[in-house]
This record gives sequence, C-alpha cells and structure tokens, in this order.
Amino acid sequence: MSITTPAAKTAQLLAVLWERNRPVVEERVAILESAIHTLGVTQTLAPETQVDAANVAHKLAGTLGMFGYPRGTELARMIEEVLEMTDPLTPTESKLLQEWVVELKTVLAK
Amino acid sequence: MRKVLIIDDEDDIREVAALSLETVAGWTVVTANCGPEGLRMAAAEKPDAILLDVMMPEMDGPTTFKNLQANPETSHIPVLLLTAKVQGVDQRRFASLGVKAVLFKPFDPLTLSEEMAAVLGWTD
Repeated sequence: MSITTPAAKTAQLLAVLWERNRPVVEERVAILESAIHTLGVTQTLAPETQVDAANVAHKLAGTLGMFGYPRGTELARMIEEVLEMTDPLTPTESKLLQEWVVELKTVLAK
Repeated sequence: MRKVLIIDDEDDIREVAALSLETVAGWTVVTANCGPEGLRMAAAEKPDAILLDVMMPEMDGPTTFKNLQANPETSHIPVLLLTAKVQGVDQRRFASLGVKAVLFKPFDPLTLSEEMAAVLGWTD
C-alpha cells in the first residue's frame, strides 16, 4: 500500500529514524543508569560525572518526545533538573533518580 | 521554494527536523552540525530562515547568532532558536538576544513547519 499523505509519510520515516537512533538513546540511558548506580552505592558523584549525566539527560529530554515518548522527555527533564543542582544530592533525590531511570527504561521498552 | 538551514550538533534532531520540514512543508533543507559550519553554510546557501540549537560544543547557539548578525551577508536571515531548556529564566535570556522566536525541544515533527511558518509570517 502506498503512503500518500505527508503526515503518514513523516510518521513512517520517523519510525525508521527512531530505529536508527535507538542505539544512541540506549547508550545515553546506560550512561545515566551507570551514574545513578554509582550514586546509590557511594552516595556521591564526581562533579564531572554529574555534569556528563546532566548533559545526557538534557539530550534525552530534547529528543524522546519527538519520537513519540513524551513521558520519556518528562522523566529525562526531571533527572536533568536534579543533576543540575549544585548542592550535594540527598538520599531522597538519589532514590528518586533511581526510580526515574527505571521508569525511563520501562517507557522506552514499550 | 523556501530554504531552511538547521544548525544542531545532534544527528537525530537534524534528521527529524529535516524530515519534517522537507516532507510536511516541502521546503528545501540544508544542515550543519556545529556553529562554525553553520556560519559558512548560511553565507553560502543564503537560507530563508535558520533553525539554531542553543547548546552546542565549540560555539553555542547564542554565539553563532551573534556571528550571523555581525556578517552583512547573513544578518538579515531570521533565526529561530531551538532549545530543550524550559525554565523561564532561560527563555527570557534567549528571547532577549533578538532572535525571531524560541522553539522548544522536543518538537512535534508533524507541526514544526506550521509553527515556523506562523512565526516567520510565511503564508504561501
């Protein structure tokens, strides 16, 4: 069946682009997961690790909704905001970050 | 036919924005993956508008915009900033630069061209 409308064609091409970019997204989620795992174990993050993780969350926030994952963008944005804080992360924040990353993986697995 | 230059360091953003503008609106799209390349492309391609990412390594969006404004060959080209920063303080800072508009990531690929056309007053 041929696709005739620009919207349908865009949706089809978007699905192709998602599959092509999925490894990059998964790599970014893995970086977040690793940083937040470290945070859970040591209760602290090296400043450069925290900045890198915040940057990765920022990139995810900017892209996931575009591919049809609005909740992914929300979660990434919340993670970014916490990681951008300059004060040391509290145990509550650390726990929230862990929960959000787990949910992010779940959302993207659907 | 309208021509738009997209300047963004992220491959997926460039690809989806280009797909959106080409397929939905039928515009011609050229892309650059960093500020310096964007400056060269803007001067060479003379686009009708530029979609410019804020956070890029080497030369960020605001600096790229200032350089575009400083060049008589590109200073007339309307620039729309594209950012994933949603906090009000960031929005006000970007808007104060003198850009035509600030658009937000993630954008909807099906409506990005409509949003741009509305801001730019492109009715054709």
